Amino acid sequence: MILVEGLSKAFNGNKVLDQVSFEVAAGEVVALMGLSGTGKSVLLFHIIGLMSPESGSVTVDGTRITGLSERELLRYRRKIGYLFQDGALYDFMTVGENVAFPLKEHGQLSANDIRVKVDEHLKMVDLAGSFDKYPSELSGGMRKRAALARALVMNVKVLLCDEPTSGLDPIRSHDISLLIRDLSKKTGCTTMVTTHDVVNAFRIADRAFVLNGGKLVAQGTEKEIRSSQAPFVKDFFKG
Amino acid sequence: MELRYNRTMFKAPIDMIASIGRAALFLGDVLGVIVRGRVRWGEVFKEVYVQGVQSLGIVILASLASGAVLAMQSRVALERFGAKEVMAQMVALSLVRELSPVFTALVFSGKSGAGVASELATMSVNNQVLATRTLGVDPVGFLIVPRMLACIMVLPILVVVSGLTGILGGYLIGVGEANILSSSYIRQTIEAIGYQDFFCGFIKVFFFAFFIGWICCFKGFFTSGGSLGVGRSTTQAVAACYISVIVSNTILTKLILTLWGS
Ligand SMILES: Nc1ncnc2c1ncn2[C@@H]1O[C@H](COP(=O)(O)OP(=O)(O)OP(=O)(O)O)[C@@H](O)[C@H]1O
Ligand SMILES: [Mg+2]
Repeated sequence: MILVEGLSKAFNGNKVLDQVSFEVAAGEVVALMGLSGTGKSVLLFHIIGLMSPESGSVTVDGTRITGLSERELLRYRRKIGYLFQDGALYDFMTVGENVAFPLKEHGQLSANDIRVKVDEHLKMVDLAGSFDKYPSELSGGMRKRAALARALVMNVKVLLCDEPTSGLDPIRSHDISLLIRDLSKKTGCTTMVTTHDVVNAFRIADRAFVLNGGKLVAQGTEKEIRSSQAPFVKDFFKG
Repeated sequence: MELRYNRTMFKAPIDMIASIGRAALFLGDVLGVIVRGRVRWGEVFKEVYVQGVQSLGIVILASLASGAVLAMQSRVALERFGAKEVMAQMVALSLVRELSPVFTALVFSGKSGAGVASELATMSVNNQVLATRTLGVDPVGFLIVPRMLACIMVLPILVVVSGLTGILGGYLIGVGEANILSSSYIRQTIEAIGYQDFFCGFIKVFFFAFFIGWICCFKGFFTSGGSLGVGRSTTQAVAACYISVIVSNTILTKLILTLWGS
């Protein structure tokens, strides 16, 4: 579903991604792990086409998105959900309007159908009573869940989540991890989650990728990663 | 050492040219949306309301006060030459041809322009602009075009309001203090303002509105660096608006007077 080949990216001569290649199968949930500043967010930005690589390519659902124009990318992004670290909800819209926004923009649904769909998605993320609240009235965790509802509401094929557990207490982190996994499996979307939270990574993911110094240094299931002999991976998982 | 000196010496002008280039590309995107007929009129009218409400009160206050002050000062000057009776004309012409357009544009920059810039800047640093793109929506069409068009629609209205309240301010002084007959003050005002006087001032307003909208949207949209960045962008935007209004006013006034006569 997601195919990344030889992806390299540098900012002002500082190499952030260096020949990264991997593949994520349809319906799979993958955690992207690594220290702060190793380029996890940059990698997600390449997959959704907010950044373009120096070399290499990204192919999603059979479409090579590297080199597409912004207008083509806007169309492509309708089937991708992206969860920002802080949610990035519109603060001038209520939670309900936020979740309804992509439907109003792209769908042919009637106002009534939109309302039903939004309610359904808010219920899925346990925010049934928050339709008319503004994002500033919600806690950080609630904002993330609302943003998750907005990311999923278009029946996306791919869900990308940037640090869904950061800034939350351990219990909320646990909850949102399970929620992302549940919803991914329920909707069948292919999901990539960046995190440096070792505990929650495997609650969410079937497999993990470990990035270090711009390179993919390990990938596999929890067992495979934990038995890895690569020095960085050993240190990282020992904590 | 020599090299570094040169680099910093050229840095400011190069940055400025680069920034003007980006602003031009940005304007191209805005025009692209308009030409393709993708204007969200609902958003435009929402913005017209927001910007209008933001600036209306202060424009009325400032115009009323400056009309009054203008009347007080012209009275002093005119009485020296024994020409008190042309006070109404003088106040009306100064306001309509020059003061209302420029004054209102400056007030509007500081209030609604700053509002637009800081709102967009906040959205930009909070990733709401990026989020718009991830949702498959063009942020220029959704956030920028409505604000720019609203500027161009609101400022002319405010200028008309400003002209009228300014004249009212002058009237209060002229009638209340300088003992001019109310009916003759009104008649003189109406007779003084020809349509060419009105348009001399009014044409400029569209240029001001265009510059204010463009600058504030551009500065706000390309903001980085957290809440500090929001403050920086907003101040820079307002300062750039002031400069562009003052400079373009000088050039436009010269042009209009040359082409159109007085
Ligand atoms: N737009 C940009 N311009 C310049 N440098 C950038 C840009 N975006 C990211 N970088 C750099 O790329 C590197 C990787 O950043 P990135 O945000 O991907 O890290 P991360 O792995 O997501 O870290 P974290 O876990 O803290 O979110 C950092 O050194 C950062 O400074
Ligand atoms: Mg990150």
